Amino acid sequence: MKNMRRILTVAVLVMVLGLTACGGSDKGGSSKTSSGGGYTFTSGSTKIEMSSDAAKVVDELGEADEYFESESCAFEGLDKVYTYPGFKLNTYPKDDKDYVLSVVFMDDTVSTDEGISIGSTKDEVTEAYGDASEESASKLVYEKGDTELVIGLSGDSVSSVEIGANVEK
Amino acid sequence: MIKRKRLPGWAGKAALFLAVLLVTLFFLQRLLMPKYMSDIVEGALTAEYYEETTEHEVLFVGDCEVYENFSPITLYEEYGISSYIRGSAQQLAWQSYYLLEDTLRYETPKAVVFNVLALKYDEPQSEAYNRMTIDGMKFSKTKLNAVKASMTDRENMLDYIFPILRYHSRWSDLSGEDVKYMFRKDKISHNGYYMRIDVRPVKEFPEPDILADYTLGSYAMGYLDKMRELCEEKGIALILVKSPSLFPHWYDEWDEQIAAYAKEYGLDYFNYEKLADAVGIDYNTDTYDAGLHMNLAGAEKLSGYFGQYLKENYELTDYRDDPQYQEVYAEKIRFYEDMEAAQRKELEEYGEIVSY
Repeated sequence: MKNMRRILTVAVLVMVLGLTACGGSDKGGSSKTSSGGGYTFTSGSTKIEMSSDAAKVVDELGEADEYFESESCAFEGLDKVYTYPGFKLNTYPKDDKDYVLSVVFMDDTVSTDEGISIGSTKDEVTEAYGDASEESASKLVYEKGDTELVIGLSGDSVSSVEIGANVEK
Repeated sequence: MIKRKRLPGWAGKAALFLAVLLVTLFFLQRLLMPKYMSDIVEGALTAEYYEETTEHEVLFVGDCEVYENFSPITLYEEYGISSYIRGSAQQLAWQSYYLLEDTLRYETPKAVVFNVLALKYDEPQSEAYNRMTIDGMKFSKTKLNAVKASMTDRENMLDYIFPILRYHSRWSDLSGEDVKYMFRKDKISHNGYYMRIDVRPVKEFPEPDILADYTLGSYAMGYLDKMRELCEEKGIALILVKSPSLFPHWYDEWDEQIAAYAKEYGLDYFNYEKLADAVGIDYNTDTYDAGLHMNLAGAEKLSGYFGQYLKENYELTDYRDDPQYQEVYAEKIRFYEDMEAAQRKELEEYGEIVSY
């Protein structure tokens, strides 16, 4: 009987110690923040890094032409869209803060830090960025750090530009 | 005479140790897994299906555009249709396929309704959403395949088979709710429908993004093929719908691809964004979050309209005449009406819904 009690105690202790050693809190899902070394976009004097603190970026950019927010399917917090001249800034919530998810070009008045805009040629893109990590007739995809640059092509001409964070929301 | 060998004393102790360890692990796993009861209740939808006691002739699969926009209770009340929504938050096309396959282990509906918005995603998106869809599935080969199809780069199969490996670090977040709902959870849906009665009118949406490629991805479309083939094999009608939710944007280019797909395979496809007037949707009163999802009024209108089509085009049983279903649905309708009343009370008291 004494042995039995000892076995039970050891088994439970092994389990509990094994679990508690891991520590921390976890609600499922993960997200990295701030993609240092990835693709960026510069508007005026504001350099926008993907996964950086959106509040600071929005503060620096000034008042948006339009603002839209939507609740995610189930989680608390809001996905936000700020529309500025020539581009949209999308953010995602994580742990009570908003982070930059992506910058999407809406017309040809803005260009990437490497000088590519809607209407640039495919040759100009490959000259600026080199070989794409993924290429098809309709798009070129470049990866750098935890960011992705997706350039849409219509024939030989750039039809869309999106710089985004590779992040799990 | 054969002499029976006696096991050494240590073997018995080891077996006992192992048994205690496994039982402890089982209880700890039940304790540590998220319960999705007072927070992010959508995570409880998948498992709730297994509590059903009646069969369903219409099955919905898809994301929030089905579980917030269609009301199976209305389908029963108005047409006697028995239906269930196997929906979950950001349910991806491959997850809809495996939830359909999972459902077919228990019953064979006459019609399956798939909401096409999920086809915009062509790769796994988020562990948190994967978990909400898959964790609640009963263990089976189908569940393992669902995991395999859904995992992001940072996930692994073992964490799904033994969730304690994934959730062990929740020990410091445990609350009374984790103990209360260890083995039994409250019902949160109405045959898979998530009810909201509040009203937030549609305002404006941002300009849709200019996309690099408007072709729906091959991975997602491959699972639509699999759903269609599975339905064909089982003699089930597959119906494609785009619910009247207005955001995220559903591009005309996507709509044309789905319409062409439906035409090619002889399926019905209804885009209820385009049919919103015919349905009678008023975007000032029938949505609770400015056009992303319908509220109860919107869901009942849509279900009434869709139910008429179901009734006219499929030989569905009117279960209102069946005493067993009458009894089961009387309870379901009571729960539905009680929840509606409770939400109205909260709206009056707090000006918003706080508990749902």
